[in-house]
Amino acid sequence: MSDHPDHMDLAYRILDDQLVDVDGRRCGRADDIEFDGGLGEPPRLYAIISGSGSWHRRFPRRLRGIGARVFGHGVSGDDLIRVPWNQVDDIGAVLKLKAKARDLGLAQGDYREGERVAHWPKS
Amino acid sequence: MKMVLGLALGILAAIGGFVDIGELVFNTQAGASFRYSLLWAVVLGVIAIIVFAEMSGRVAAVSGRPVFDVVRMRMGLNVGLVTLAASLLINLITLAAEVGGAALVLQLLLNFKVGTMILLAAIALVLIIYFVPFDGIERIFGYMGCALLIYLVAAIHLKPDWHQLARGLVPSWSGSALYAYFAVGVIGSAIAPYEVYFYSSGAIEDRWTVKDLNFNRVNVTLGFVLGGILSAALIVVSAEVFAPLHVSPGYLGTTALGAEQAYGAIGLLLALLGMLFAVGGAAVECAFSGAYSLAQFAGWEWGKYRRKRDAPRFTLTWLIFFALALVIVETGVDPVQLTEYAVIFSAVALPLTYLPVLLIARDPTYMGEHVNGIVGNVLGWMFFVILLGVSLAAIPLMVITHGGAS
Amino acid sequence: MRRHEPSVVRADDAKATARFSTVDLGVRRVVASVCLLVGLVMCLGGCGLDRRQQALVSVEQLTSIAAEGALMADDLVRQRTTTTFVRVHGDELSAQALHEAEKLNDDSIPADLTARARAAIKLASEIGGAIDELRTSPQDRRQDGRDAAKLRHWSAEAYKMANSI
Repeated sequence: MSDHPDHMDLAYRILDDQLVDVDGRRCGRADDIEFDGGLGEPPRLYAIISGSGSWHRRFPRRLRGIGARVFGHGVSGDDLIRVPWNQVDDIGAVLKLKAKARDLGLAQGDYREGERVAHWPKS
Repeated sequence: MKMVLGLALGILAAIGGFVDIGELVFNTQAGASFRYSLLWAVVLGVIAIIVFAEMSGRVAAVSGRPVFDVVRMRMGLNVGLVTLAASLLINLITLAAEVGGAALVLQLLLNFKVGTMILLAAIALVLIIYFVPFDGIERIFGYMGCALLIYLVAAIHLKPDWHQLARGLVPSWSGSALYAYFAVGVIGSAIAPYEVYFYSSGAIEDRWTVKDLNFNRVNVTLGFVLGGILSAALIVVSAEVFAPLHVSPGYLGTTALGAEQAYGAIGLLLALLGMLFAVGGAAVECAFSGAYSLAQFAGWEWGKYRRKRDAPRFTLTWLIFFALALVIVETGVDPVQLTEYAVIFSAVALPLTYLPVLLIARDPTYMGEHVNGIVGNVLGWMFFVILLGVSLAAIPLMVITHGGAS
Repeated sequence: MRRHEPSVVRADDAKATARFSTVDLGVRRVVASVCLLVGLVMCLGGCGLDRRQQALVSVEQLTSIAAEGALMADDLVRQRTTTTFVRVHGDELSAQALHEAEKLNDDSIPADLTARARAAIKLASEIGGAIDELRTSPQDRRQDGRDAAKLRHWSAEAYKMANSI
C-alpha cells in the first residue's frame, strides 16, 4: 500500500469494488476506471466504468475478441455505464454513490427483470 | 439465555446441515474399503472448513465482504472469472447430485419411478424455497437432518474396536492410489465450498459486525465439529457392517442398510429421513450459493431475505440452477457418480476461493485489529498448502484409480 | 488510460495514484499450471481398466451384491426392514448383477480367465435370481432364509474367485 495518507492504490481500493447507490441498492461493480488530462498534465480520475462491456479490454489480448462477443463490446449506455467520479460519495467496503442507480443508468438488468418478476406470486 | 438457545438451535441445524450426499457416498465407501484408517481425513477436513469458514465469517463481519466479493476484488477480473466459472459448474453438478440423491431416497421410501421422484424432488425444493421464509427452511431441513444422528448411535451400538478407531485418527499411508483417492474424497466432501459461500453471504445478510466475531468462532467450531463426528460415524458404521463382508457401497440404499443393521426398520427409516432432509438442505444451500456467487461477482442485488422483485436476477439465477440440475439428473446419470465428480472437482477448485479469503483475512487495510493473528496465519497458510496438495492430486488420482474402481 | 476533455473534477477530490497491477502473476501461473497438469494427466490416464482388471472389478461387485442381498434377506427373516426398501434397493442390486454379467459376457476376457468368467456369469444370474425372489415375496420368511444362506455362499464363492484373478 502507499505511505501517503492522501494516496490510494486505485487497483486495490476502487477497481472491482461493489457500487451501492444512495438508497443502499447494489448496482454493479467498478469494472474499469477512466482518467482525463491532456498531454503533459497530470491524469485525474474522471469516471468509473461499470458493465460487462468493459471486461474484454481487461482480458489477455487473444481472448478479447471472444470476450467482446460473450460479454459485450462496450456500447455506452447499454453494457457500459460511465459514472462520473464526482458521483462517488464514500469509499469503504463498497463505493457509495450520491444518486439513485436508475438516475445514473446502473442496474438496468435488475430494473428490467424486476418488472417481470413483480408479476410473480409473493414477489 | 436467548442467545444460548439461539446458538444451540443454530448448532443443531448445522449438524443436520453438515452432512450432504458427498459424505454419504465417500465416507461409506471409505469405511467399507479401509475401515477406520481414513478417520484422520475427516478430522483434517473438519479443521480445514473451520479455518476457512471462520476466516470467511470474520471477513464478512469486519469488512462487509462475502466470499465472491473478495474473490473479485483480490484476484481481479480474469482469475475471478475462471474461479466463478469453476464454482458455478461445480455448484451445478453438486446441486444435480443432491436433487438426484433426494429422488433416490424418495424412491427408497415410496417405490415410485425414479423419473417421477426427480421431478417431485426438484419441484418440491423450488416451491419450498420460493414460498417458505428462509428461517423456516433452515430449521426444517436442519432439524430433520438430525435424524442422521442414528448413525452416531449405531456406531456406538455396533461396538467398534476403539483401539483401531483411535489409530485411524492418526494420518497414515497405505501406499495405494485408491487410499489416497478416498482421502481426497473424504477431505473434499468435508470442505464443500458452497457451504462457506453460503455461510459468509448469510453473515452479510444477518448484518454481522465485530460484536459477532465470538459467535462466529463458536458457531463454526461447534457446528462443524459436531457435524464432523456425525460424518465420522458414517465411516465407523460402514467399517463395522460392510468391510468384513467385502461390500463395496455404490448406492444410497447401501448407506441406509448400515443403519438398518444396528436398529432394524426404525434405524432404516430414520436414516432415510435424515438423508432426505440433509440432502434437500444441501440442495437449497447449493442453489443459493450459486446465485450468491454470480450476483456478488457481477455486482447485482442479492439476498435470500430480499423481495424477489428487488433481487430479480438473483432469484432467476437459483431458479435456472434448479432447472439445469433437473435436466442433468433426468438424463439418467447416476447421482452417486455425479457426487464423486462434484466432490473431486470441488477439491480442485478450492484453493481459488480459499486464497483470496486468506489474503484479505490477514490484510490490516480491511481487517484492522481483527486481522489474522500468528495462529490464524500459521493455520491459514498450512491449510492452503494442504488444500493445494489435495487440489493437485485430486484429478490424477481419479484418473489413475478409474474413479475409485481399482 | 483514456484521454478526455478536462472534467469538472473538484479540486478537493482525492488525488489518486494509479498502479495498474491487477492480479499477481504468481497466481496466474498457478492457475495455468493446474490446468496444464490436469490436461496432461487426463491424456495420459485416459485409457480404461485393462481386461483383467475389468474382470476382477466385476467379480468383486458380485461379492458385494451377494453380501448386501444376504444382509437384506436376513433382515427380512427377522422383520427388521421394510418391503419397499427391499423391493427398491433389491431392484438396484439385481440390475447391477445383470450388468456385471453382461460386461463379463461382452468384454474380451484374457484366455486364462474364460472359465472363471463363465462361472461368474452363472453366479451373477443366480445372485440376481435370489434377490428377485426377495423382491417378489418378501413376506415368505422361509424363502428369505434360504435366499440369505445362498447369497452368503455365493458371496464367499465370488470372493474366492476374485482372489484367484
